[in-house]
Amino acid sequence: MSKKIIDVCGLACPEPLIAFTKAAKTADVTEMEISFDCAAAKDSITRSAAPMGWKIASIVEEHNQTVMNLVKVP
Amino acid sequence: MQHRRFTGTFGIAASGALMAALAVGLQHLGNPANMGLCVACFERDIAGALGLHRTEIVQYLRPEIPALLLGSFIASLSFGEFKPRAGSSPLTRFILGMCAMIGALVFLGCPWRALLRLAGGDLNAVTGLAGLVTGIGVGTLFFRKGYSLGRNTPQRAGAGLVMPVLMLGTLALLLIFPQIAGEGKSGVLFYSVKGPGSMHAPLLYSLGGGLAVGFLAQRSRFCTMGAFRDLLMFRHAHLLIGVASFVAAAFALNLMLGKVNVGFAGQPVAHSAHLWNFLGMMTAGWAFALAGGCPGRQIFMAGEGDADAGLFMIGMIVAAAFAHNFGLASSPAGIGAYGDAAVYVCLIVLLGLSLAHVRKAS
Repeated sequence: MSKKIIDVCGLACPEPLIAFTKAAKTADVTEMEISFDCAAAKDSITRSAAPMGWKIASIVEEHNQTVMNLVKVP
Repeated sequence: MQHRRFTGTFGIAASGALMAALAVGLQHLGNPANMGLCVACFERDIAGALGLHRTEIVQYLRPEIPALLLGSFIASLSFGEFKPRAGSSPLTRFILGMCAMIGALVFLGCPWRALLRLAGGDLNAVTGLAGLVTGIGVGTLFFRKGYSLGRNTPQRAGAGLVMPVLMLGTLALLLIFPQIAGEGKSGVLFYSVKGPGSMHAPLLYSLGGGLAVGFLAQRSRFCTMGAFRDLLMFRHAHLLIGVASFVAAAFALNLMLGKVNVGFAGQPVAHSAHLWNFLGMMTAGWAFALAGGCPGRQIFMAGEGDADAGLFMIGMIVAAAFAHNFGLASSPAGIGAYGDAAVYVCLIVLLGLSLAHVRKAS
């Protein structure tokens, strides 16, 4: 039961999705905050979340970056 | 919802079909057969128009290339996605662009043209696409091992405007020195009087088509490399829907226009050296994967303010000049005198760059 904070700002596609996928598959991670500035990453993480058992709790756009909070669906 | 309109399943499928319609339309209006839109061929023609190589049949300052970038620039500005950025292994990206172009010119086309060739019945495209997928697959192996070109950093707006302004300057050259019928030169620009470089749609159609494709692709994230990479790495078929839609629409339009000719022999601007079609596109696919986008996508990212993607694009143009000056590029007669050696060298370079950029997980 832990929250993972991931900062992939400055990294381009597909690295934000790789980072998300890796964390999403980690057994003890139940919450995640991922920051990125790659426009395509928002689409790809959004598409991946539900099929991997994650729900997007919030998306905040600030200072040219996106901060997405996700929780694992029990 | 404006955002999802383009990035949802319908958006990517519709974008792929519309882009194919524009490409086939440009063929119908004068661009070479199965070459309505080809980033590699058109950048090679631009290199010829600027005199960087002097292969007389491939010299034309194709307006589609600057229009593609400007279309993406307009879309990214309109939707708040213009983000000037640079500094993610720029020299490596330049060299990746060079390897990609050399591979593509051994095959004779970028991934878009491979799809258009397939949609026109050219079965040589099948071996090329098999090579492309193989190369992308090799690239994904390194991503799984921790390959990364590192972070870019945000830049001031001016840095993101360099490529759009360069493209406007390129278009200005075309307007200042327009083609003179039957002449191989107009002012500083070289023109083809025969061969593929002499075949082109009227300027306004090329500009309009390029702008529309650039806009659609920036919004939908259309990427031929990404389509296969996402399938191989994440089992995602989203971008592949766009690619499938592109091929289906181009095929249907070619059928309606009577432009489908199924077979290997006698295909326009193509050769049947199967091994080299495969290895050429494998080289290109590996380079596209390492750089994070197909050559079209690199143009669209450059339009969004990504200076590193702009450098990849310039690497492709420089390599096109080398490819023709050194006899690396293929022709319908077969591969160039040093095309085989160039592919081997590029594969070694790609292996070296792949290994050099594998980082330990943080």
